[in-house]
Amino acid sequence: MANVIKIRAKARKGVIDIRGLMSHPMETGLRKGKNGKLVPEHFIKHLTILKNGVEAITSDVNATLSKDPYIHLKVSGKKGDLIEVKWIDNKGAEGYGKKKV
Amino acid sequence: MNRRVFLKGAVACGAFASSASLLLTPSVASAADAWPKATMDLTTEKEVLEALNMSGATETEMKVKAPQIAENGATVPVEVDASKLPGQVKRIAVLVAGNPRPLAAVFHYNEGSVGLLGTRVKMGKTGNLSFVVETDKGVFIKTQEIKVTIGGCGG
Repeated sequence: MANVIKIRAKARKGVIDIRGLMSHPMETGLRKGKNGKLVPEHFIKHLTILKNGVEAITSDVNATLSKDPYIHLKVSGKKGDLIEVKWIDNKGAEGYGKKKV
Repeated sequence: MNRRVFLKGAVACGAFASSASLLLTPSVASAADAWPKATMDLTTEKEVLEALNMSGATETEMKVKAPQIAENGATVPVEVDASKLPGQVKRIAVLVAGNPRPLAAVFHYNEGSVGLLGTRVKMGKTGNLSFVVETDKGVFIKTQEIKVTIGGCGG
């Protein structure tokens, strides 16, 4: 279960404040490892935030985001809404997390 | 006994895998095909903006939270609040000018989302960080210089 996304979501004045933390190496493919060879790129390509099953925010992500990416986003909504976050990386691996506000 | 345990495990695994694939595969898989590799690999800020169809942005004041001096270039926390701009926010792009690939991410905002984006980026060296926001009323940009004191990694 290494690909679980930690999510914190709070509703306030009709807006849900979402903070998510993913665990991912986010290698750029430009860095050299200990053996002097380039570390192959490995990064999250797409991040999607769903509210009650509907895509609220989608994104195209480059390897420029930091290792173990963190996001802070807001969508309108109320208590009881279901927030889901998922990602897919360049190797096809997927991560998923959900949180009821 | 052993056989029973084994069977139970196999059934549980199968159920988990199929439910997971049902949940994740459809939208994520279709989105993966659309990853704009050419845009992501561009090396200058100007080219990226042109490729994103976001050139000619107006310099605007936005609420940006970013450090003046970043102690660690590998994780620079940045945040922009574009909800005060005129119009509904459609896209927010994060650009780090000093990096080999300046475009960090493009976030697409659908209806019912607020134009706010907070994340962490890598910065190879001191340089400008830009937020480019597209609303239905135009394109806006806010640039801030961030000094990186210790070199991050090569990204």
